[in-house]
Amino acid sequence: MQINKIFAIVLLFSVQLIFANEQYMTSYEDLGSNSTSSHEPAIVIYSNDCLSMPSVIVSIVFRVGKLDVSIAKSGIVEIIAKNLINKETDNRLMDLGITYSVNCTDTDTEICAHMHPKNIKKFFELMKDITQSIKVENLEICKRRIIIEKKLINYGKYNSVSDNIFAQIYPQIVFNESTLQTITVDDIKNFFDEYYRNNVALITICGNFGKEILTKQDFNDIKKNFGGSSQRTSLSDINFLKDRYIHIENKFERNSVNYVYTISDQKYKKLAPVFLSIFSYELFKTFIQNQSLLSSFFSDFYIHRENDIILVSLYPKKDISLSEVKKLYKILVQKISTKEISKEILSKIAEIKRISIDAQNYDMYKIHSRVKEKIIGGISSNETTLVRAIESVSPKELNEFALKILYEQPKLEIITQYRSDR
Amino acid sequence: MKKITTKLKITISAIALVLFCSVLFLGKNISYFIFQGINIGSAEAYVLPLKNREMVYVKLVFKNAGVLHDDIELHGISNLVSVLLFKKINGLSTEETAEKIIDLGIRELNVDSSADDFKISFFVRYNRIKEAFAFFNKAFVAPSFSDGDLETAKELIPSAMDPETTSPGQLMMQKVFEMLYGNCNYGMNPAGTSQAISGVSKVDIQAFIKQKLTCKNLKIFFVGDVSKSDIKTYSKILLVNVPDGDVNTPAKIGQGSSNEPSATITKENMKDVIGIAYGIRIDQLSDVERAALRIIITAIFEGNNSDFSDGLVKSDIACKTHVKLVDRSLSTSVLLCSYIDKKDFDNYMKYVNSKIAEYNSSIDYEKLNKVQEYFIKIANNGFYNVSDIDEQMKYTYMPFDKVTQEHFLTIIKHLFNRNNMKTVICSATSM
Repeated sequence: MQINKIFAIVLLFSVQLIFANEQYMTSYEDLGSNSTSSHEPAIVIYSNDCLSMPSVIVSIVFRVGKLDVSIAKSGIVEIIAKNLINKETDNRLMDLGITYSVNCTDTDTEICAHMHPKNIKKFFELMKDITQSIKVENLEICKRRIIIEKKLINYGKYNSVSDNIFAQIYPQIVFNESTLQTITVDDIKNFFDEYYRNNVALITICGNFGKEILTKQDFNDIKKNFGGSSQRTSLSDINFLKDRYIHIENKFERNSVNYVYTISDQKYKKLAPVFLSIFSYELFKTFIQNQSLLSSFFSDFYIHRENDIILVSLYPKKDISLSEVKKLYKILVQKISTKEISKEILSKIAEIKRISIDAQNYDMYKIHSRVKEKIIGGISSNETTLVRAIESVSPKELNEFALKILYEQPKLEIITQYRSDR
Repeated sequence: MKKITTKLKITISAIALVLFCSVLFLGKNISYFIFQGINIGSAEAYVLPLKNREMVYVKLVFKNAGVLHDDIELHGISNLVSVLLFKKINGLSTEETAEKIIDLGIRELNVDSSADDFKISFFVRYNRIKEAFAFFNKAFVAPSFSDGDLETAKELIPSAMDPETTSPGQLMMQKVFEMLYGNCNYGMNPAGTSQAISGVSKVDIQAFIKQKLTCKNLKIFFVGDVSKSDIKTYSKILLVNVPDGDVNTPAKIGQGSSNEPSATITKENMKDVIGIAYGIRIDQLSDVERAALRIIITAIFEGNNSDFSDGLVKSDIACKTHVKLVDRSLSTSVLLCSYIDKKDFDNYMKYVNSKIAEYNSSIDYEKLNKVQEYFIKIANNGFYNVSDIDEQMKYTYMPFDKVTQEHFLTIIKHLFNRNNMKTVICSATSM
């Protein structure tokens, strides 16, 4: 009888412990957004044995960025980002061994932190107050630092060109010293109260931990403390300048030819990521196939997608004229637009994409970005859906997309031309 | 029957207890395992095992085969090898090789020769590793690039930094290295020397691969669903006929110019911003001293709440500051790069001088200990990605807990010794 009792207790205990140690589901697609009201942030948890490390990335995302600012107050979001975490909080995060960064993009402001799972609750405790008010210290110094950083960005290889280009399309993301100087502490506090206060849209927790780390009550507390709205107003329509062609002459840039395309049709929005995957592959293959030909023309090329805009930048070699580059690009695009892309090629590209996604699972920041993109959405799509979309798209749809979007006149063509005064 | 039943119950209880313990220690306590020193002939392997993974991450590190240890007459040859090694494999054309690499499910193939070591990394499907390794083996034992490929590769290597398109930070950093190390690999442009590169022949490249990319100098890192025996099998396939070789000899490093404490660079588009770089070198640091240096740099310079940044704010100087710790195998250098408004230049220079004097006369051990605790704690966070896993292993697991006040004192005395410092100023007009 004693043996029976001991046996029963041990068995029951072990079984309970085994099941109590269950991990969260390993796919955010299963969890999705668990926001129950429009005033609660979506919380997405992604837990797997990535790297088998006791390592977690937590992010708090405000759906407000540089594009939400009026031109007269450009730079406000950058100032807020620099003051979101004050000195005291910074010291306390350091005491916990938490590393973090604060970034503001065109559409979001994000606090992203790397920590041990045991510190998740403490982290949220520390972050509780940041959505309530902002304290701006040394505003003038902050502004001057931002100006210097802005000037230094212009020395980067790509940043300056794409900065110039996006400045044509979204002028509010550009600021200079004089617009920044007009911003007061009251402006910052008012903007914060309108856009940031109680307005966390998304919280992501990605890493390796079990349900003993965060209970249901903990989630409810987090949702209560970080009230927010997961909806954002759609971006205003892009107003292009009347001219569809801009020529920038300056002493500081290499020559480049840049084409800007926009996608407004819903049908094409879904196809854009599919098409770009294929376009990149085809362009890469063409480079390899015609390496001696193309490498004698280009030193580099660059395809970038942001919101509803596709930017293609070509950097010709020094002795190649810009008109030759434009001619060559037109031939390349025509070739790709009219080529029949076989199912075999589509399967290959899908497989490449699938492998890339699997490889990303070794980088927690990439997993975290994917998780965030799925909820925030926009033109970016879930990458596993992208793989399926590549496999199932019809060649006819692709050719139609290429002809409509790429081959027809691009919305904007920007040439930057180096001009030496020497 | 009763006896058998009792035995069965005891057995089941024992199994349940084992399961309970394994869940307790292996399931709840999420831990990582790194097996060290799996010998594959004269090479070594390290593994971070992850179950149920489709992809395996592989990194090959050949010690002292990077550009910092090229023969001076062939300075830049390792960069050429990095371009040519996987260009054409096993008699296939460039395009066929590229397609084959894609077909094998290899992604993010990266070859880096820019520092001390020659590094190759990639992701591959776990069920294609054998084929991938057999394919790459051919690159090591029978490189099949042509003379034409070599000439094209030479064009790809920039022979000098183009001041028009290179950032001021990079220009300043390169100048500081020149002043610290003189005319040796550590002080020269890491792309290579144009004369040396133009003189490299196909025979030189083949000799480099045969003599430097050898087993005795190789560490292989695996991350994925691989066992020790798998690793031995795969590594043997990769290294068939790859020579054991001799241990790669590190290059000699020079002393730099003692009569050139400062220099200026002009870069027109700086406009009204001035860049100032301070550089210092420290040779032959022990692991504990490296850890002490890292703590000091973080405490004094990094973050908006560092001592240096705090002081800048109090002095009303707006400044973008960036500290770079360049830890190479033979010497460590520390560079402090700042960008300031032209009108703040004099104040900034006075500020730096006062700070150097301050650090030489008193040390805030309380702050240093706080940062020391921070580094000990973040080591518990583990890695968050696998790229540079070899570097991450080195830095995350430095002996921060063994650093004492004596170590701090030794490093600070050297770090803020004016006689050891080199200064480079970058502005639109000459200063």
